[in-house]
Amino acid sequence: MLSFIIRRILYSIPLLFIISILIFFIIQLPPGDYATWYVSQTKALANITQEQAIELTITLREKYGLNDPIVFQYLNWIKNIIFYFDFGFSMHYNKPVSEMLADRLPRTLIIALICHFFATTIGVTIGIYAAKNQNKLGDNIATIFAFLGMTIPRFFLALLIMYWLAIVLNSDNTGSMYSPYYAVQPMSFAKLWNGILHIWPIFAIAVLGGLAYNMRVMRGNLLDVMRMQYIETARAKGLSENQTLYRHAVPNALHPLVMFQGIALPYMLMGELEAAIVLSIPTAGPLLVESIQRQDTYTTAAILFCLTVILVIGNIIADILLAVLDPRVRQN
Amino acid sequence: MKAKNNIPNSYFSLVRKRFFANRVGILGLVFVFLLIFTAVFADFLSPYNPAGRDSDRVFYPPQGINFFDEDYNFSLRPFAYGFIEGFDPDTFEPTMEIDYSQKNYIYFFTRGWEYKFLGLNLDIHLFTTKDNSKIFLLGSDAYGRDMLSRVFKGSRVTLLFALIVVSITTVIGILVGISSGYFAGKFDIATQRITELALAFPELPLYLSLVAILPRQMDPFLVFIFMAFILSSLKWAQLSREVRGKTLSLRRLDYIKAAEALGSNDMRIIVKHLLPNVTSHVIVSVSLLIPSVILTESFFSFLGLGIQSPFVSWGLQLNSAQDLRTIGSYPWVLSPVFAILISVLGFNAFGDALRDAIDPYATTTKK
Repeated sequence: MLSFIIRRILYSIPLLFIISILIFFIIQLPPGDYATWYVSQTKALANITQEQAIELTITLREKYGLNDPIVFQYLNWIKNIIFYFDFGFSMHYNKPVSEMLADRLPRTLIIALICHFFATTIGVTIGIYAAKNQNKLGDNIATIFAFLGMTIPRFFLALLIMYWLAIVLNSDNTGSMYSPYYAVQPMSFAKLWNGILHIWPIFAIAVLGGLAYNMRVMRGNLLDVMRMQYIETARAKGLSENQTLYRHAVPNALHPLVMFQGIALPYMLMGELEAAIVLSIPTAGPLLVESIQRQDTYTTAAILFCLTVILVIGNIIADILLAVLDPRVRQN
Repeated sequence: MKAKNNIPNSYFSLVRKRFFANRVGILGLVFVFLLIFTAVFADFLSPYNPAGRDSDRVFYPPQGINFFDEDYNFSLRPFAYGFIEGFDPDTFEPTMEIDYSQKNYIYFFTRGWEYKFLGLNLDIHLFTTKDNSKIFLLGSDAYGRDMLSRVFKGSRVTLLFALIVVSITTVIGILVGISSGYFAGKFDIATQRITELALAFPELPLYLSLVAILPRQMDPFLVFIFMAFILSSLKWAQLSREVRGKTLSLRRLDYIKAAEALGSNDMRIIVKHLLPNVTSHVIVSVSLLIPSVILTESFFSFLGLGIQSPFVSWGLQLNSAQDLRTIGSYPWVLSPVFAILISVLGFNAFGDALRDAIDPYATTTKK
């Protein structure tokens, strides 16, 4: 088991390496670098001459190693990320990218994980119910619900909720993480509750889609498993329908669902991002869009990099979980 | 005994039979046909020029069609009342009052604005109004353009975009998938690593970052093309995975071995024996891929990062809905959403039913 985990982790290192190279190239592609930006800013604010500006550009390039061969620049960039969690400097916000990430990314991750939890538990429960009552009213309702949950655009749902909150209810709890009163307060239950009042639409939107997916997968798996011979055997030896279901069918139907979590996590993360962007709740999503609109490349790359790493880690966890559940996986 | 019964059903006639037994699937098919029809005949269906601005008719609410006027007089020719613009004396908000004296009659199959269709200069329209009167069935936007005409026009760009992305994706997906599954060995290992790389990236942030590096002052047409390539950059991976799996299982079957024994070369085996057998699977994937492309494109255009004007896409039309005050005062700017909904639901229902028809033993999990 341990060797499986180690192999799985080692296996993802080259993947992360290539991803980091690709992202580094994305940063390099737009014309101009940090030095040109900094100098143009200084020129506008401090009124320096052309010669001074050129001099400043040269010193800055020296200082940040922008004249080095691109390979060294890359090594320098990745070294700073790995050892100091330093993603460079945000040109738009005028502060280190890591500072903003430390602020925004944990929120995104926590929200996505909570959504993931609810989507999985509720989805699996409804899936079991639907499979148990196949082709009955409850199953049909659940199936239609799942179909709608997966197809209705999430940004549309976000717009709708926003419209309803802001225009119909005239609520103040939109467009921020906390109300102004709580923004400067230390963490407390009241503040937490206030936060939930602001971010519940994200939960609702992300959970709806994820829950629909999980429900469909669970229902399909369970129906497959229920056709197996060992289920017939379990019934034949006198187990009640519920005992057969929960002792033999459900545990086996859960395996593909765990495998599916590798796909579900990015889906949840995207749901969170999309909803947060439309509702402009300060998590990683709006920061990403804003950094793109301002062409703040380092911030964009940092968020992209972090999200990719999260997904890779999520996939590792899903694989390990699957290995724990299913001995066939870890022996292969 | 009818001779007809002795002829075994072909694979596709079986698929067709199973498909048409599914009512949701038929509904999806109807939606898909309607969409394609709208996209092709968008100009004919549009009563006004989608790009035509009208500063006198900014943010007109959707108008209802009437057959009876306020005195219950019947008119065979349908008409819509105009509006009187005014101000609320308390809040100074602009108001729209129905003007019963102004009747805009609708004429069918008459001449309107000019457009080109298959190289012909035409000006015939399904319906339009005459003599400087206008009706907006879905309202008008911030420049006084007819929302309905723009929704029709938008269907073209949106569907064309989805078509381009799906074509690129399918070609790459099939090529990589089949060759990887068929040649196996080192080639397979190498392509699988690349596929894994593409699958590891989070879609939305990667697309956004790639869109971000497109130059700002780029030609809208080039943006359109680049967007298509960007969206194709990851989508092929999933398809190639599925095609590879299918090819791997087919390769072990006897008929491939027989073909090899008969001396067929790789090319012949791939084109004649493998490709036809993965086609049905690919068709299903494609029909389910289209809605996801439509959604992504709409979201990007909604954010103002996707299709650029003068092109019209549904998402781009929604761009003005980003402002809460606009939605609050003029909720009809959201109407293109329903076009998106219909297309997404339609293609999904169609794809789901097609999958069930092609592979009745597969459950919903095996996508």
